[in-house]
Amino acid sequence: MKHLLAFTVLFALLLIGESSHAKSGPNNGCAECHVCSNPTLSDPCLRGCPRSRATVEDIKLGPDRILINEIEVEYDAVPFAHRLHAEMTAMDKGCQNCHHFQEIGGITACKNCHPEHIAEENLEQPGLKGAYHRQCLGCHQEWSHDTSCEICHLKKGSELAEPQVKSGPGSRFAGLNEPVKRVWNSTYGGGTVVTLHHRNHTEKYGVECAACHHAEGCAVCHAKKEQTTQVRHSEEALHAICNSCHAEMSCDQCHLKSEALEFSHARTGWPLKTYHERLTCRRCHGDNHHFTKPSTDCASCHKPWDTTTFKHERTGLALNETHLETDCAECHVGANYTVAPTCNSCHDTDITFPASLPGNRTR
Amino acid sequence: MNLNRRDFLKFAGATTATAALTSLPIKAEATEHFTGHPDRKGILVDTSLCIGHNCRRCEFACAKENYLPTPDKPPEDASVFDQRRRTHPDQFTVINRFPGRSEDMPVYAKKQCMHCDEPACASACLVGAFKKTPEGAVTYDASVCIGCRYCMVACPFDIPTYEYNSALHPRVRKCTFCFETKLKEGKAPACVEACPREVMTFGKREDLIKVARQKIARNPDKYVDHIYGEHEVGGTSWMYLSPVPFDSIGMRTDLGTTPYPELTRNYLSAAPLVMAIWPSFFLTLYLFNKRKDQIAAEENGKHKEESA
Repeated sequence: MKHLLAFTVLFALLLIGESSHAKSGPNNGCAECHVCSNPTLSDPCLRGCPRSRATVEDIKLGPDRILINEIEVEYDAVPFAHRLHAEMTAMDKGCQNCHHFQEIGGITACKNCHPEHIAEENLEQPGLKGAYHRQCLGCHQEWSHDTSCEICHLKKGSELAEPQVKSGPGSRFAGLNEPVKRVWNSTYGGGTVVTLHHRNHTEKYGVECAACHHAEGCAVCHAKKEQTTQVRHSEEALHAICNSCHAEMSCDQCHLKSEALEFSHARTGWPLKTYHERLTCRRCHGDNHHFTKPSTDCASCHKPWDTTTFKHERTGLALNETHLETDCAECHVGANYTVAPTCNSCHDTDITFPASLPGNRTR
Repeated sequence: MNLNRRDFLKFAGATTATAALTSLPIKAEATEHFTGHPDRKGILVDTSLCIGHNCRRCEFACAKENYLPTPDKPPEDASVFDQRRRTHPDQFTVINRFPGRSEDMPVYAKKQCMHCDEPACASACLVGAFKKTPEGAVTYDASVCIGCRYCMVACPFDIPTYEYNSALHPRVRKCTFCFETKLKEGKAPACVEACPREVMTFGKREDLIKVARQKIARNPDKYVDHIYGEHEVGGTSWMYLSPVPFDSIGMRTDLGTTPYPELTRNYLSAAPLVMAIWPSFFLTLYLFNKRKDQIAAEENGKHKEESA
């Protein structure tokens, strides 16, 4: 009886497993994963399955760094910046850029399929060494032609540190030379000139590369020669990209008679000084799609703020000893920090700000 | 019998015909096609994968394995590709750069002995210093070599080189397929082992042809639809795939598919026959005529005497 029960449970489990396997396949079509018509357990005759494009969230689930050390011979391990590469693939085919074979239910690591040595019965499948190098050198050759081993491999006996490949967002590695602006000449009846201040979008407005760039190979941005890369899109593609954020704008707002001026915060009536100028827009205007007007009250951002802990040198002016002990309100009358301070509370009228300073400028 | 010019030509024609006829069985024997040693190994070179510059690990591995001097220029020196190089007594394999589909993507092609199934060098060698082993390698035995260098003239790929700078024991040098150290034990040669991208695949020649066909079928845009070496000069152990036509990566496409030894075999098999039959035949003919003339002259003399 016990045996019968166990068997029934096992059978039920198998059935569930089978059905979920069949359902999890894309469109439930066997032929999408299996090459032959009668796949068996011993010979599943699998091929690389098509998979849906990985989302940015999927990519973030992947490991940050992988230590490749299965086949060390001449060199030590390769610390591979997996997350960084995964994020870049969001602009191309996603995880599939490298993980060209997909097992149902997850991402397969290279070493799960590629044997250490090529198997005599499957000469077409590269060994692990070949698989790694074909993946890496495909791009690392196209960009800079710097294929020397030490750009990835650590030398034997060296401390485990980052390899020499300089990574990180914003680095101008491998010929990545972002254009400051792009100007198009259109055939539109109104204004013909369309200007994109590209660097403003990436650095100020905080637009991620993948928001506009889809299905583009690495070499599109990482030009082999040091030059500003010209990504060429069709007219439809360009409109689709711009419209993903600027859908509500009229044609004439982009298509102008002459090149559009770069955005200047001063034109909003609120010129930004040294410190605020360096911030991205989102720091003050929030993550909303439409930027809203923040409060002009400093305390709306600078919280918690109190006069006892405030370090005046942060403003670019380090107070001297006498003024450090002076009450804020003596100079900033009425706690209004947006207007120039007054010196008349203590000094004669011949001493004014900024002709005379109560300390030294730090920048 | 007085042999005039016409009779002589008749005789000569008949003799040649006889010679040709008698050589027929020999010819039939010679054309019995050699299908190659079964299970012989080969190598498939996928030139689309080779990165060439900053690597050339095959060249360095080859030098180490064969106790040759390390190549002059280091891997990071791109000037080696400025001119097309050939094999050398000190370098059995070289990588050359050729223009690819675009300026940015050149094709790098490795050059070494192709290890023909029916090697021209072996058929040209007077002393049998070259041999095609059942494993697939074309080996060279320096101990019997007489230094005639016919092999160098015979090779359609310009591979064998000669140690001209050696005064006492010059040898013919070429890629050995690492026969003694690796292939004999069924292992891949040193260059194949060293290649980081596995540009070269080592395996049974017949399996490699299947792999190559599959590669072409799956990536018709990536490769030229041809396996170089599958049929060239009767087939070679080293075979190539290329993204651009083979003549543009320095490989001869005018070689045909006939094994080189076969081109001369019929002609050469008739040579001993001509050498043996013609002298004796013409000598007999000459002696026969001479004797006849002598008898005629004697008889003529007698006749004159009688009439006188």
